[in-house]
Amino acid sequence: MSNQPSGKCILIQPGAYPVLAAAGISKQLRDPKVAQAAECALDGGASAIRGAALVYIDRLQTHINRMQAAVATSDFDLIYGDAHEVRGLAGNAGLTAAARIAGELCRYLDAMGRANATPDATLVQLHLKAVVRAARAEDETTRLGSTVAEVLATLVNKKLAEINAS
Amino acid sequence: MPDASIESLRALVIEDNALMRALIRSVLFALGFKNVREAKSGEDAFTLLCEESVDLILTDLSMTPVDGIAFTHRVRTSQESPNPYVPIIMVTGHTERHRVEAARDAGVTEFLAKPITVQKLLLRVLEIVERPRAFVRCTSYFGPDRRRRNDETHNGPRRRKDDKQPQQVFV
Repeated sequence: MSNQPSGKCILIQPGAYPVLAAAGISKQLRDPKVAQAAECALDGGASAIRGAALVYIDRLQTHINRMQAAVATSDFDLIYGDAHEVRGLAGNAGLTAAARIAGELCRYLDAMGRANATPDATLVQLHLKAVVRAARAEDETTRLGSTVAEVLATLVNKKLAEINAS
Repeated sequence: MPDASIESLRALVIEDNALMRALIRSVLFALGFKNVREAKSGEDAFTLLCEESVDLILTDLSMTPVDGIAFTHRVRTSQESPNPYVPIIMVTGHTERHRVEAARDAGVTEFLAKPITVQKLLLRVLEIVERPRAFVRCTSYFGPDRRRRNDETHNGPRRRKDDKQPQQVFV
């Protein structure tokens, strides 16, 4: 049967597929030991996950330097790309606040881009500096990082509201 | 229902960042997967998919030359696709609403926002395993049913042509 979209709406109940529905897999996945092992893999000191996370931390500064360099030329597409990388990587490197702030910057730049509006450079730089600070202080999440992220999110919301109102 | 185990399943991880690929692969191994293939773009992944059978795909969104959305659309609708029904989990930091909707409309099965956690990944895989959704074929879409719930109290318009009694095809 063709899998091209058709004019008539039909529902197809996969029978032989997905193989994932096979008996036993659900039980295996629901075994608390499996989740525990996966958590250990993600968090464990000696695991490959930890090694990967350390590389993420090393790479954060490179991302941030590129983002700061990009401010000078106001290449907001490049800043968005790098902020997106930080958002994706920092969360799994334990840098929760940096990930949140980078995420807010992505949200702002994405919305401005879709509105064909020029981003506020000051607001962008505030985010960049906050990301750097949060990434360099691993305890930033419990100290100031969460508060900074919330304040910046408020600023982003205000700026986007201004754009929407105009 | 066929008997199978996680060990017998084949997963494909598509991610342009090698470190993130390694992270996802490690978590899948910890969950019990033994056969995890990798690709760094949608293009490479589709080639691999045509050569090997895959039971579960985890794909990033932003990649070149073929991103996760274009890859998903190709898997679902291309005549060359070896398995248009394969479950696809999109793993991405792109959480803006319009991007999530674009992924959904391309035919992804589940959406997982980074950072990756075991709980989030397990929930998505269990959703696929325990509540596989029917596929919908209509004028503009082929993929998993985008309606997650059958709301009996819904009083709004029923926009599907065959909404009351959709034709069902078993494959």
